[in-house]
Amino acid sequence: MKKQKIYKTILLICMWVLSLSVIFPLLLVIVNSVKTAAESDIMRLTLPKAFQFTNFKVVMAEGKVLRSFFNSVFITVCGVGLSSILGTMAAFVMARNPSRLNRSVRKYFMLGLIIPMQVISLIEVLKKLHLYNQYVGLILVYVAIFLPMTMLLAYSAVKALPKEMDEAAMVDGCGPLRLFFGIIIHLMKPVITTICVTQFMFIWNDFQFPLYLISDSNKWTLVLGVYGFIGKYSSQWNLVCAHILISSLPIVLIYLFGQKYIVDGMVSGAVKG
Amino acid sequence: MNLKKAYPNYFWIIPLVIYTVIFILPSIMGLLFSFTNWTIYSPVKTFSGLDNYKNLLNDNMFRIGIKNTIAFTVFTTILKTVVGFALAIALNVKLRTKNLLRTVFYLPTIFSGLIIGVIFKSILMPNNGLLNVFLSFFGPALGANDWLGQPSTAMFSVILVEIWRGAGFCMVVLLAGLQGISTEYYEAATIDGANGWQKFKLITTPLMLPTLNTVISLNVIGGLKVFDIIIALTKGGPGLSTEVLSTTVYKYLGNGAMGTGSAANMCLTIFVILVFALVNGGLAKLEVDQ
Repeated sequence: MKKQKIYKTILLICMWVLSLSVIFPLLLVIVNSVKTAAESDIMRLTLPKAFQFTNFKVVMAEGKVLRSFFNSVFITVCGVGLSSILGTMAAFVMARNPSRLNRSVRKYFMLGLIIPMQVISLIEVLKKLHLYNQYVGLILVYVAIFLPMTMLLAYSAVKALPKEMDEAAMVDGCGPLRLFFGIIIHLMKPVITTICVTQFMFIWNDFQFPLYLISDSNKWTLVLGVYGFIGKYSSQWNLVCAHILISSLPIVLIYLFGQKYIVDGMVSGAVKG
Repeated sequence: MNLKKAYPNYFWIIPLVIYTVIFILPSIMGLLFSFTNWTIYSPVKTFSGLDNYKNLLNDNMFRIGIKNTIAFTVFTTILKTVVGFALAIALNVKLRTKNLLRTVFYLPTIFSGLIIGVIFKSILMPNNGLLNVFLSFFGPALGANDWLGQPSTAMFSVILVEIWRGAGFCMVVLLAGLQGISTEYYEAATIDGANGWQKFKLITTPLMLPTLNTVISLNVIGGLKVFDIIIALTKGGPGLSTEVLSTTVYKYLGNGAMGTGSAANMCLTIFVILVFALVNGGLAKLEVDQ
């Protein structure tokens, strides 16, 4: 027993030493975001002489951060909202009525879980629809990408709900829309939360699609903003770090709030991405 | 109850239209474009057969891109899974602060790949980067490497950054799998006098195969599609040493070679589908055999 206790202590120490490799890089960003440009020229983990909170003000002014922040919020919320509502509605009908047509439509959607997006022709399609360089275009791209994953998760969740409940509601004169929005959607809250948290993180962090589909810097998301910002201020790491911190804060909050939902979603959802 | 009336098809009409127009249509068009000589200079798309694919095979950037994509995928998949599995086993032991440790190791996964890339670009800087400053404690020669600037170490560095980012994710998924194994197996094995290694080999590994299958598939597909982290760290350079398939697509598009870019993208798609079928088929068979 005593031997086991020593093993455990050694293991614990090893794990904490190893965890420093994760903590240091993140700490580096935090520490350097409040240094002067000269101090952050050599990126070290030392504390600054004086905390330069003005860095955040400078970034806010220079990097169009506020604008990008609202762009990110708008695109992410619309993408997540549409994909989760539309996807669960579709999955509900497909799970309840396994007709031949519904089964084929479901299979057709599942193709989207594996196949990567063809970006060059996507740009062409969006240009033809006058959706290139538009918020709506980017949002619809995320919806199209995430519908299959939403449907996969929601489908099994609907299957787990008793069918008798629908029947009882219908006997009482409840139409399909009211049945779904009044009853079903509330019973699916756990799976919908999983879907929302996972997709929120993906869309917020995504770099590839805004890069390809948004050319106007007024419509950039925060992550794309960071990329544009390092092009201009590559020697001022203090400002870059401040920008990174602002861009990552919402994701950290979502993570702390939705920690337990993330794993479920990541496992089933990361097939796409 | 009339199923069709109770569960009307209009519930999936809008998703179907969005998915078809924004996802399926570009996929089909991408396939068609890959057989045309479409460039930004000659917007008229005329059929050119397999020319684009032939061009790709003769293009050094694409050939190296394929080689690098495979190397990146193989190394990151193996190492992330091994590191993640080790972390999962270590943190499945009843340790004090194990929940906090899990949170710490998972943390890198939540950030954008681009942002992780930017952070590590600064850490790996030749003169003032944190890594070199740290290494020069052990000897000035050790701290003088330009990790991302030399062709010989660039790919290696990119792979390490990806492991830093992705191992925590593997850990969490594998932990969920480990917690699903009943402790009775281990108790019975202890009574039979099995040692730790035997338990790992004969109980843990076979029962973890389905979870490992998930983790490996996810890592392989993610590895084939890698983009953000490469763009942020090296943009495919120095030279072509970290060029991967998705960055070649980006570069063909940037050069205005739309047809060739579509063909490159199609190759990536075929790759992903093939690997997905292989990994799933192969590992599923292994599970049955057990």
